[in-house]
Amino acid sequence: MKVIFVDDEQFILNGLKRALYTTRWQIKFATGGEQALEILKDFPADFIVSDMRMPGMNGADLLEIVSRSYPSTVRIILSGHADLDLSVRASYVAHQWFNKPCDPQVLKTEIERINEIRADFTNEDVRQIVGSIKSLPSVPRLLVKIKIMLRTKSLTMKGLSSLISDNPSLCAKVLQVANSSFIVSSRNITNIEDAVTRLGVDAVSNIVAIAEIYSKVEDVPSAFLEETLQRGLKIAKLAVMITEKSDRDITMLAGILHNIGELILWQINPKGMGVYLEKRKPGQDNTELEREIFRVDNIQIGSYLLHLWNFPYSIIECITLQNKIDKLTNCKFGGATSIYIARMIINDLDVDESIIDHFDISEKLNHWRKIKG
Amino acid sequence: MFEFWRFKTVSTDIYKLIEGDYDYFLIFLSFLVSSFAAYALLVVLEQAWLVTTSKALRLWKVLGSVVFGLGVWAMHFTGMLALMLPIPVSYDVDLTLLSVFTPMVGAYFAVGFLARKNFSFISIQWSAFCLTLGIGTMYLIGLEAIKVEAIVHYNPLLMITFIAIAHLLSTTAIYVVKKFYSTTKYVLLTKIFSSILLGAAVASLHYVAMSSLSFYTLIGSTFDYNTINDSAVAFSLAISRIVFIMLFITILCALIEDKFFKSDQTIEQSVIRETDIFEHMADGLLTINSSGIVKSINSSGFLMFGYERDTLIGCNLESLMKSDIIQQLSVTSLDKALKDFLGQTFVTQGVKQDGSEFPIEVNFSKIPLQTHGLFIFNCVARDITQRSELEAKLRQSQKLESIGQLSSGIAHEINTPTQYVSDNIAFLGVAFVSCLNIIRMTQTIINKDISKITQQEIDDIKTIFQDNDMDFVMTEIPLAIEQSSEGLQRVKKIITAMKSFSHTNQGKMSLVDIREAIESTITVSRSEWRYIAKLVTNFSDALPKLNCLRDEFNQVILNFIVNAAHAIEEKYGKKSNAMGCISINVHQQDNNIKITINDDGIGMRSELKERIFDPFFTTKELGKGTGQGLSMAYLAIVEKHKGSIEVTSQPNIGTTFSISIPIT
Repeated sequence: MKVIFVDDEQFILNGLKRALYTTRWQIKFATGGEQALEILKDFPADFIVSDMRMPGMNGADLLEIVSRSYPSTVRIILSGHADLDLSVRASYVAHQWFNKPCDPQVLKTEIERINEIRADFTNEDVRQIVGSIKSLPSVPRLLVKIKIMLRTKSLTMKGLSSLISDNPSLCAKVLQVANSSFIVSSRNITNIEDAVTRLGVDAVSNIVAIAEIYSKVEDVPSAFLEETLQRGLKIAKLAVMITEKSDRDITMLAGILHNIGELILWQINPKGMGVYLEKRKPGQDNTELEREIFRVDNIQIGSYLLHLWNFPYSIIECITLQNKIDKLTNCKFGGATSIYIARMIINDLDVDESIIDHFDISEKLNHWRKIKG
Repeated sequence: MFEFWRFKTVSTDIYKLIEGDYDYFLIFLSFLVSSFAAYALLVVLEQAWLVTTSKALRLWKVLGSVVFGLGVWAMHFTGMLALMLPIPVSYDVDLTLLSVFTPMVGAYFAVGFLARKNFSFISIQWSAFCLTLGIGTMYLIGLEAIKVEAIVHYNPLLMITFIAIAHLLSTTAIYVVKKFYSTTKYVLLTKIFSSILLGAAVASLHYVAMSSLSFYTLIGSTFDYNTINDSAVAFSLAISRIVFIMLFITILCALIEDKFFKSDQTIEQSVIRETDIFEHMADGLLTINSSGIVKSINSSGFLMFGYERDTLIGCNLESLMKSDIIQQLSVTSLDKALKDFLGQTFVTQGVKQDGSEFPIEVNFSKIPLQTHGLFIFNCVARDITQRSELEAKLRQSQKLESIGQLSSGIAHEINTPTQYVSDNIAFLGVAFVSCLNIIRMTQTIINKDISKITQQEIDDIKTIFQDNDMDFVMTEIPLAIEQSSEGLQRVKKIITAMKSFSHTNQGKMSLVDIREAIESTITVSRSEWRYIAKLVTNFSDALPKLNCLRDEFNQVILNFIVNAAHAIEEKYGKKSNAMGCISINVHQQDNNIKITINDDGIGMRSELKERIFDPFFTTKELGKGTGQGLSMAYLAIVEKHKGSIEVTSQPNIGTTFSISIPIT
């Protein structure tokens, strides 16, 4: 594994070099953005870990360049500075954020975990295929922005409303949901701020996620698009009820996005879609079939896409693990497990015994099946 | 039934009624006289209502009743003369003169009631009764004074009617006066109207009375018609004239008195007002003569200084204020000492009677009046203890604010060494595990007999060497320790600097090591400039300690450093790799410490340069600067430390601020 660390403070680099000397990673160090870019030319790093504030080129600028020139490199910020402006900017381009001082053991574990997740989807095939798609959906900027604002606790109802107001089609969508029959209301809501207040931040950000991501997928028949979206939503809703309270936010988003890769399959080989739709078993692991027809599977594509969009690896992990029973039992009960269970329940399939035993959820399972009904 | 005196029935067999005739000019004259008399009475009453002493009241009462009585009498007399009888008529001088007094006495009592402003029904009746009595008596006596060759007969019924009407009219007239008393609008008009009404009442009374009177003469007497009239007219004119003159004089007197009274009142009012303002001012107000002796002081003043009023008057200003200006009083006059400070507000220490000091703000002014060729000064003194405390709190909060602004930078400064210290320690932990393994194995080997050492044991050690990259470990351990301790030093330095920077001196001057203060400020603000510029300092050796307000001094230096960083940032832009340079030089020049802070930033045009010390003037974007930094710096250096700030700047080349602070 190739890692590059960038920090203007030589002592930080020295410290990292020592702390990580047992990892056997190939590590390079740069004291500035320019030097890092120079090194990257001959050193295709899997990870770049950069400080935020540096003289000259700062961390956000550096990672932005890296995201364009070396899209499959995982971009991580390791910063001791709490500059809101910069952190918001960096959040667009960084997959992960660590605050100084950060325990080197945590840094090491986290990088290794991400490496494991990405091992699946950053292979040459995936990169090539995704690279060949012209109309790849672009980064859902508004969604990312809302997430950042939530994380930095700088989100207000007013701020959220004004963000949404900037996008007319999104405005319409939010108002439509707010006025839908699901939400008991005595009067119609015509103003976006009231709608946001009524729906709550979580619901609104999910609407934003769907609206932004699905509106950007082109060249896909709308029936297929609608089916994929509805399936994603259904699973997401159930998974949210299954998962732990603290993971709901991630689970909802991961649920909505867990089958996003299927849309791209259509773009890779529209002709193969007929065979695929015919042969696939809904809700089950179809990755082998996919690889047969398209050379890649939807999970690889979906996770690579989220990687390109700088989604945190905690969400990407929910997607990569959705069929890996053995790995799920190694993790704690969270988004990935919930999505797996939700998928099984929705498609009336049996949840794997080892999962039921490991998490001791046989009773709860019945309860969840009832919810689905 | 009324068969007595002049009520006896006159036998018409022997006597015949003489028909009298009236001279209308004289009737008019009589009206005029009575109206004037009434006017005079009102004028006098007005004065009587205003006076406060009983002596003056009595005087006005006497004057009013004399004038009114005289007027009534003149009216009566003129009215009498207006009656033209075809027989010779003459008058008894004594009785005529006597008849003057009764209306005066009646009027005196009536005015007595009115002057008391008592308008109850009873008192109105009483005063009307007095008037009626006075006027009635006057008639009777006046009629007795007529000497005529005829029988004078009164009609008793008409007589009673006359008395009733007299009382009624008097009552009416007093009601009019009452009305006049309560009016505030159209005073003159009301006065004239009232006096005409009153005059008319008195005059008509006369003619009613006259109608009850009839003259009888023996039948067969011959009448000489024109015997008296000419002289009567002349006589009555003469009387009227005298009465008029008296009335005029009275009215004039009253008017003059009124003016005097009013101006007296104005003076009195303004004295009361000014005394009140003086006494109740929130600020202390002192008057001082030119040798500095306190001549008067208001209650805020003596309370402020903790004295009794009497003990403070006569004190010297020197014992009340510690200002240098005031202390010159021992050698010069207040006039000279204050020459440049008159009308200016300045802050100094006040001294209370118990010797304790408190901050006051004073303002001296010269009163443009000389007594015995000496000027008197006014001094407004304001106790600003509370304000000073608030200012101190504000200073503290501003400082906290700037610490708050710096805190994220400081956090970074601390987080960075913490990061590498913990990395190094993690490394040392791992490294020492390998080392200890090797040591343990080595220990086992060296404790053995040399012949018993197996190749395996040596190979094991070799494996550890290889597996753990011991060459790297051995090179890095000393470095890790060295760098860790360096990191801890850095943390310590930052914390010390923070403590030093945020040290408070409670607004008091203290001797400060300038170098240490500036270096702390540089350390604390490091993250403000380190990505933008390098900072070089140059302190000349053996700088003396400076007596200054430490926290304000720190704040000033911080402001200049932050400004310099911003100027450089603006010049090169955020993304550029180019670094600017901030240089701080400190040296002694004569009796001053001179600090120059130079940057090679964006610089300023001269018109900008002129405004930078204005409060709230800023060119920075919202949220980056409030425009208070430099104005506070100016206040701190120039006003509090009696120093100076100079600025030279060239657009795109840089700016230099030179601060000069006197050492003593």
